[in-house]
Amino acid sequence: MILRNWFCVAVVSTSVAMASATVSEWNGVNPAKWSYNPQTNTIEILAADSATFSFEAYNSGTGAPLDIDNIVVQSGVTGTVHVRIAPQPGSGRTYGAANVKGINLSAATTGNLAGVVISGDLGALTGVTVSNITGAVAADDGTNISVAGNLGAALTLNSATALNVAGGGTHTGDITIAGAGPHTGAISLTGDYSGDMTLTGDRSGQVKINGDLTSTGSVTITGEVGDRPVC
Amino acid sequence: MLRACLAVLVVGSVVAASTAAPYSIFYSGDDFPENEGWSRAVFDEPGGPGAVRSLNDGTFTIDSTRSDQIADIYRVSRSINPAPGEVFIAEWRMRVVQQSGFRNGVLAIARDNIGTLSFSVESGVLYNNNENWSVSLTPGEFHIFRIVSADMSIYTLSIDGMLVRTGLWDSRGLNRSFIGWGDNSTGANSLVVLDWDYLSFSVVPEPRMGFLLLVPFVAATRRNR
Repeated sequence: MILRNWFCVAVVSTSVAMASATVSEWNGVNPAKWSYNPQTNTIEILAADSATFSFEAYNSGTGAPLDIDNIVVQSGVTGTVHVRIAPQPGSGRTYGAANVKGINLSAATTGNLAGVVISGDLGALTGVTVSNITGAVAADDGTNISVAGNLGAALTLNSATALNVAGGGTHTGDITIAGAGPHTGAISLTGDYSGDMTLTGDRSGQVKINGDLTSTGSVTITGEVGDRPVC
Repeated sequence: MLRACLAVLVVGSVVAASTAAPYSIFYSGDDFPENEGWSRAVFDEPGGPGAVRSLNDGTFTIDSTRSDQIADIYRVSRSINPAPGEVFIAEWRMRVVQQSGFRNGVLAIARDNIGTLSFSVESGVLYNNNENWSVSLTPGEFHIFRIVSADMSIYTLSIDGMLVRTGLWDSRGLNRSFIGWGDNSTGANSLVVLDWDYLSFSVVPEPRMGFLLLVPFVAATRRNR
């Protein structure tokens, strides 16, 4: 880590404690790329023009979990956006739990975005909504999601082309992939599921589910499926 | 000062006459917000002192032009929703003295039952952060903004007494209750100077014509400084 390449925001004083995030870039020094609203804990990504734009947004405290209300990707963003809900590995900084309540790509320019990767300690991932994206979307990675051992609530992807849920725990939330498709990317789900799965739309990519589905409420796959097995 | 006291008295009288559990929170601009019951949080670069703040004849100024890493936010955390038969009203008078970079958050309301309503500004533009719409303002001039919501699902926004928008609260935002304002943004090269004249947040009985006439009167007593 090159210290001068970090751009940090710090709470310098509070009269009453407010849970807030620290937002920093990993690989850039241009603060014009993001905006953080500490009232609503909303992060707006404005201009990730590199192949991979990574930044961390984590709970600066160690007390109550921090709700990150929304991560909004604005139009014009290109490349892959990587949001780590924890300090950069090896930083040694202490942090608290965080709940990402939403990822909003509705303003993002279709076709420009190569992908969005969310990683970190998603102890209580309460919802991810994605729309209008042509690249890969990953609720990543196995290490961190498996900390909680489950995907605790609904994960909804609209017209996303690829999904990788790598956590090895029990995912209690529903997974819904809506949109007419065609969904050309692979869908890979690992772990045990007890929620409902609904995959809608035509798809030609692989669907891999590696885990125990005996507790799953229902598995519904509709649409034209290519010549590949779906399960 | 007399007019300020009168304004508080008017709101207080209405609250006292109510039968449910209404409330009224008023910031007058006569003192720093943390001295009037608001919690404050300051963001800056490490070691930075935060925004330059000043009081001038009942107007509170936040100057964050030194760094886009500055945010200076004020909040009251409490249950804010109206009960059946009541209505939530937020009104504030402010102006954007100077602004550059990406739009700057200025006001956020988190209702009791999950969801927020928040606004940002540029010089001459007010943005709704959740619904992605904007409305033009006269740059550099004070405006009176007024939110009214009975069910905390649908709201109306008036600016300077003119209805400009009927919209919906975000339904999946923060799961907490507060009203917050100030320089609410860091990053994005956003540099801002904001003048705040007053802010008023209240829950009152369902509109009666008499009351609806009183609240603009509160605004009027604070104007033209």
